[in-house]
Amino acid sequence: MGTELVPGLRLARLLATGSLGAVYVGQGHAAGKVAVKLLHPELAHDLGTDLLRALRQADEVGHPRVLAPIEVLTPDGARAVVTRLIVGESASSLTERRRGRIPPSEALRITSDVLDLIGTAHAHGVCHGALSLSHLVIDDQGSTHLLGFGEARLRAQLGLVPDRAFVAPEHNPRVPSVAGDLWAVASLLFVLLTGAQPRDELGRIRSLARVTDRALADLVELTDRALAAEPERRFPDAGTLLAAMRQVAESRDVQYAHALGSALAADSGSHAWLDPARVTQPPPADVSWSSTPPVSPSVTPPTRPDRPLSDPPATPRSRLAPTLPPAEQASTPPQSAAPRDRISDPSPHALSEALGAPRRGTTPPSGTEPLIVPTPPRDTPRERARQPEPVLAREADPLSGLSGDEGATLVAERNQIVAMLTFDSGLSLEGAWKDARSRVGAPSDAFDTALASIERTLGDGSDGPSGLALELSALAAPDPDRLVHVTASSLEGPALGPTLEAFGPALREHVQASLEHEPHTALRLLTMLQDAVRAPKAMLAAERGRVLDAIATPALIQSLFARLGARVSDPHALDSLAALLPSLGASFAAALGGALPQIVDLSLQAKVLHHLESELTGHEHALGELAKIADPHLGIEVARILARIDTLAARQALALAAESPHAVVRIEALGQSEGASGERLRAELKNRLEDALATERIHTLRALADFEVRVAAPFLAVRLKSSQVDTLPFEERRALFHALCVLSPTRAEALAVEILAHKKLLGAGAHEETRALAASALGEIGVGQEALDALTHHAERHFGTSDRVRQAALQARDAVRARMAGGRRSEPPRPPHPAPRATRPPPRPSEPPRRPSAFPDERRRK
Amino acid sequence: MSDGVDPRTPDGAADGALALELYASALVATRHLYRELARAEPPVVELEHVARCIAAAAPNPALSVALALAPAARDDAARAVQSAFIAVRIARRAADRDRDVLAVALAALLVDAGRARLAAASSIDLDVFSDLPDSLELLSPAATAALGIGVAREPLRETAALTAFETCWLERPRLGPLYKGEHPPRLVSRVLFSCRALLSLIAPKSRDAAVSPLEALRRLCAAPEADPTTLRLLADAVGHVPVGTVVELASGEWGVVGPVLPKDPRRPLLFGLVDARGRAHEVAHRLDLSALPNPGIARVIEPKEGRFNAAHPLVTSRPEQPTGLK
Repeated sequence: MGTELVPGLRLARLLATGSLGAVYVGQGHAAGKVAVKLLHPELAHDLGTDLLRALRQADEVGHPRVLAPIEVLTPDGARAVVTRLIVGESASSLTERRRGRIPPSEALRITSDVLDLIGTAHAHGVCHGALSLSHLVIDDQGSTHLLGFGEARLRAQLGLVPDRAFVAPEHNPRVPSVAGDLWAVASLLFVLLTGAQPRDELGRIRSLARVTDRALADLVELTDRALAAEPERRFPDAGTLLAAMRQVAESRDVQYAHALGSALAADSGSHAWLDPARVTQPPPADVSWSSTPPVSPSVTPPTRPDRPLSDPPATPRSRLAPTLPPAEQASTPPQSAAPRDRISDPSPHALSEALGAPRRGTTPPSGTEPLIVPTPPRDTPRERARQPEPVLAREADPLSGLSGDEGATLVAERNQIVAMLTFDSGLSLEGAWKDARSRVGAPSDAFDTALASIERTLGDGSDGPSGLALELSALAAPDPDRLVHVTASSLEGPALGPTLEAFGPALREHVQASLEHEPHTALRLLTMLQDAVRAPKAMLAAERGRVLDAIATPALIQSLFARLGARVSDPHALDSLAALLPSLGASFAAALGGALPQIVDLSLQAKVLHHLESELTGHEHALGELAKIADPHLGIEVARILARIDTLAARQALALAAESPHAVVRIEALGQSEGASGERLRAELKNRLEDALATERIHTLRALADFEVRVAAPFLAVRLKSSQVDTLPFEERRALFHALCVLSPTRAEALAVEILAHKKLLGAGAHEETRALAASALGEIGVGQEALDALTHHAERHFGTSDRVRQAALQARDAVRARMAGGRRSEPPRPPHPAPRATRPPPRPSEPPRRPSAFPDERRRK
Repeated sequence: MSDGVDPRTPDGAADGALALELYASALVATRHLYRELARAEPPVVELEHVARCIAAAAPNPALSVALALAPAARDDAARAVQSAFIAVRIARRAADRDRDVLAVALAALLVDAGRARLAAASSIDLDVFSDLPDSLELLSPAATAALGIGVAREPLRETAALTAFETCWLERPRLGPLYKGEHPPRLVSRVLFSCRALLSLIAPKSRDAAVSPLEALRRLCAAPEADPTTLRLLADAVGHVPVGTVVELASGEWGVVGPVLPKDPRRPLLFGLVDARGRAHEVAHRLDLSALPNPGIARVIEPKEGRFNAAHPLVTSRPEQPTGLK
């Protein structure tokens, strides 16, 4: 059970080795368990009697936390120094274990303890001169003990290099100084805070702010001054430095960082406590320590894989719930349950070494030896409580299944919050209790008074939750009235601009998404937004236009009109579309034009065309292209709009329309662009009206009438007046009269009177048919006395009038009389503007829609 | 419901650890989503996911621990999560349908969403204690409405957006009567408003002094515009001596009011913090004051009296068998 050093004192186990020797736990000494530093034999010889004299300096300090030798033994010429055994942890071990994660308050407390001891020594005229991390031991009560008094002289005598981190710039190894000790204490603070030395690789002294950009300002100021290269800039004595340290330690920033840093110590990376995002906004003085600002996302400590991962959802619900691959989940280790804030493992090399003479050259870098027994890990309920195991079911976790850098950051942030909120502030609590007890007098009735006040207001609770339940149930259904109000509120007055700026893209995205599957929803939203805009009447259209400009794209409007305009069975949607038109500016003209071919409802189409007429500028070419490919109805309408614009661009667009595959569109476009005398127009009409096939000629005539291509009227009159007219098929003649009546009633009336009066002996049968058609035409359009006289003449069975003509004249005379009695001739039938709702059959280019004819049909003729 | 027994948790077990983890996750997620919101990426779908998780946990009485956790996080996202925790507790006790609870949770998360977006659109960096300029602050309900209405075209979201809008409006009395007085604010909005009002006293975003949950509830009840119905619903969910209130017994012991509602509101269930000699308990034990002959709460410990984490025993508690008295 160990080597017996001297009778009665056994070296139980090796604790550590250093440049001066090895340290063992000694058993059997009169003082109980002790620490025995066994000097290297060659050093023991060199030191001789100086050793005891040097080490006796600790006795001169006379402080219980300054470790003084109990005795120096000389077994077999060796030298062994016996001291008390401190149960705790050396500062070097602490720094190594919690590199950069020691909160400022804890570092300041340790340093202040040391400074207290150093100050006491200075008061006794003793300087330490060899301060280092391994000369400090923190016992399990948190008190710091200082070793190594007198070692500086021994080291100088032996030519051992001191610990560079704690050597002041002006250091003289043979003459320890007050200023040197204070610099070493400041360096100790620096090392505890950062885990790094204050000197860089070139030996230059660094500011705390240069080592980490998260340092508290007070600490930077303190360490900068205490570590100044020039002694005169530093704190003059231990008392001054100690006062400065205490002042910083009591600052709210440090207090705050202490609580948070302790809580985060086990989870965060280095310097987590120094994050300015946490510490630059201290809680107000009258709130508890936990009044923390939000944890900064910039701190991304290592992710704690803290949940079992199994059965990920098949598809991610959102960006916040993506799915981890199974392999990744399976490889995630369970959470470690290591306790925080306490030594978890003794020094491996110290405890694994067997007893025996230590080898030189295996010493720790610090060069001196701790006289400590490492504290075993604590496993108290409080410690266990500090480690909350993840309990949240995966499917109920907003962060479940996260992966990637973003996921790791969020999970780490979550773990920090958990650590912060589970931080056990028991010591603070005890302090608060003591403070409160020292202030509080006799118990008051404040609690009862407050509770009584609350319960007076709360009443008996007779209609509480049930009332809420009813209202919640009612809320399951949409509440259109309130919704309109809410939306209106979002767009009212000054809110409109910021609202659109803030949410325009989102609204546009939503409308677009709705359009794909629910165009009605998209229309409803647009309509609601339009209705919600509140503005003076003069500004209303403009304000609504702003909303649409921000939310709707031309493509969206075109798609909306094209899809819903084709649904003739939904008058509400058609009305809503029409209501949008006034707010659609010029930028939507081309889109509306593009949608026109799909709009079946004639009323909506007319409104769109009317709107286009006023918003066309800049979009003529697009409409010319549209007229070129559109069906006859739309093509002609577009051509007329372009003609009304009468700009160079519009005339060029008409040229495009003249390339339409539909004859009536070509005729209209040519007529609008060249006038009735245009060569291309005449050629086009000649081709169409003199086609070899009668059916084609009739088709053209009907189309000219139906689409009211008035430019063709003179050509039709010439054809009707021709001597060859009687040779045309009856149906063609009838179509010819009808078309002329529609396109030019005045010209048709004069011509009909003329034809009715003209009798022929040859070919009388066909000519009588023509005269009867003329009489019928007069019945439809005649308003003049001449027409009435002609009809009266033929209706009264004068010689040479056939029964067919007489019958037609008789009917027509009555119609003309009635018309004359009622006033002027009505205009030929044409769709009103806007037209009453009517539907147009799907466009068939070869067969324009028919209009009921006023002329006797072929059956009557037969 | 005033007996404090939650019908959906017959054993009254309050899993504080579960509530804490959900709280932390929801907080992180909501903060993340608010940051996305600031980048003009309205994340309502994700907010709905967070709300769904909170609504699913509504039966857990420990959700009301959010009152105790509130002082530690006072940003907009945190306020949203905390109010969602309290509001779903109320909704759960009153509503049978999950979607109603979900709508309340989503509304709670949405209330300040518009505010966050307005701040970002105006290049204002909202930190914990800062506020929007008045001109923008008054636009918050409109912005919230635009966010909710603009991207939500189905009943659940519309309902949530309505509630969020109304709550947001109620918090800004300078805006005048809601809906120009044509419609009254709905009860659910008033409840959410009360939740947020309670939280704003316990964890003010301004430099105003924080008060204990009991004092906060007392002030709400004492206000001239106090709404007894909503306050009763609120008190039924968090306790007449609300969760997180630190009290001192006549014996000198300190305890923090737990989330399980007592039968006698004057005798809440406590988690012991320190014993009569001022020593912190290694493991917080439950003190059922109703079982003591003379529990005698001497006073309430206000936040300014102690810089300690009173929520610790609440958030580390798990369902357990009823414990005896210490």
